[in-house]
Amino acid sequence: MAIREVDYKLDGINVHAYAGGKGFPLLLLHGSGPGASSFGNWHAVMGPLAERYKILAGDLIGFGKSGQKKREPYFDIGLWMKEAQFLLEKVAPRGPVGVIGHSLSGFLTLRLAARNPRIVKVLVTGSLGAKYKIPNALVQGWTFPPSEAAFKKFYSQMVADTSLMTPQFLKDRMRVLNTGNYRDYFTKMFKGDKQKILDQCVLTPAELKKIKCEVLMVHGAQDRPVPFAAAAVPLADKLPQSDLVRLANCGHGPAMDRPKLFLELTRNFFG
Amino acid sequence: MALHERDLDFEGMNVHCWEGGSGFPIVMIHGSGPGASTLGNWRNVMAPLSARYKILAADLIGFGLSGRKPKEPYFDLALWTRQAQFLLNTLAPKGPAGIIAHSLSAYFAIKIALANEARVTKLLLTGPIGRPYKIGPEGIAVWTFPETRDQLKRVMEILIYDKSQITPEFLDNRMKVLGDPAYKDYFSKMFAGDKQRFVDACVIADADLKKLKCDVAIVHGRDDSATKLAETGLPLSRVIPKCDLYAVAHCGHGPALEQPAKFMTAAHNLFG
Repeated sequence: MAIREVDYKLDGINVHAYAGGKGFPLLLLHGSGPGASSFGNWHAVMGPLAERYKILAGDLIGFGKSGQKKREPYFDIGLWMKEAQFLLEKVAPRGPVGVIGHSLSGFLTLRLAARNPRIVKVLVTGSLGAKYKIPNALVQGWTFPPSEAAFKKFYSQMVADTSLMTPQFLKDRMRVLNTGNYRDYFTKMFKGDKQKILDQCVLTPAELKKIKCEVLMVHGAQDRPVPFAAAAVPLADKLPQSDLVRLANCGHGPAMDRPKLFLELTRNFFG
Repeated sequence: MALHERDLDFEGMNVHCWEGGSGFPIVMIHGSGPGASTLGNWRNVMAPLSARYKILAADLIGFGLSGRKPKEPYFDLALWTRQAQFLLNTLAPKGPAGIIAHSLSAYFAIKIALANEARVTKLLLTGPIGRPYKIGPEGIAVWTFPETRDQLKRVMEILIYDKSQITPEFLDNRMKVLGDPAYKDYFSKMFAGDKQRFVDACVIADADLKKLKCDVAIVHGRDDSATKLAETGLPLSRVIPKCDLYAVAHCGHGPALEQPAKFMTAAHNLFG
């Protein structure tokens, strides 16, 4: 199924997204990290998903091909929530809708579900949302890597299957990191105490109570920045309606490390 | 896909089975508990499984329509392990094959997978036993013969998340099975005495779990109070090398019974 690229304007900032398919509407939101984008997160699964659903995968402001904020703070949960709400209305102006969110966007997605009862299903991968002590792998993920070697060292902690880090993959990522002011912007986005940044991504008890929809949490057994035991289990405990799937041989990105299984789970969940 | 019933002779005792379907061969073994049986455990998934795989589901010796041991001990892990091996040999003498096992039977399934590593390539466990844990009042209750309908109701309330399933008709049917005085005597003797020792007898050492080469999936009810997710399913999935874990919401001890669609998702992901 062909995927087309679309651009929207939100508060004067460009919002880039990938759209395709028809059927039940699904919004996809990627994670953070150096060079993160919709394409990087979902490229292996967007095509197959678009064969069955109407999908819209948006780049968060400050990431991928979306624009940047003019003024700090660049780590801006409020703005990203506004963007998520905006994209939700683009993919489905009304009626039931599903959302898939990864990592930081797992948290955004769950918050979005608390605010929008018409979100009937939420699938999150490697999701933030619980309070936990920041692991070194996440500190690194929110630090600009000064060289390709440094990026490679960081990313080898993100995937269980390091063969996914092909020379082409590394080249593409490095090109993103070396473009324009990306380094400066990214560094400012995650400046200061990273535990405090992570603490901004904790769902409140009131929000958790408002999440009434079905939730599927998919989590890699080898997830280092968002460890299964420290982050996924406590979040699942606060969402008793959620199914929690722990995948062997899988790092932070199930859609990357276990794309086939990710697709099966997605199809079974969204129907 | 129609299933047909079949009786096999095993060490002079009758083994009652359901078989059907074609494709990848899978042995299915139910759990323990008063009135447990193949149909009790797997009735909601046997048809969809046999639409894609070749299944052989058997009642354990001492349960369902299978025969009884002539002499105690009726709780006989060695016998049941031999029975599981016999079922594997019957269904897939050369392999590759899979095993689906519930609760107590996870022990035999893991043992058989370890003893036949070239043949058993896939293992699906639901609400498994196999880890050391302190048995709680719920675990004790499900291994105790219910004297009355009320006691049976309490056991079923432990096992089943959705209490609306526990209808008067459901209880009446179970009471019919349990009403046989011979069954009561046999079951009570099977689980007589301190029940902690049955849990302990089924512990599989970490060193052995780490040797499992097959693909494993565990499906565990998040509301399971007989074998708790945090005490068995979760730690097993951490120790077994290639193990996916599905922790299923709104589900008690029997995922195949209570959440058959989710059970089938895990089965299809594992068996292809």
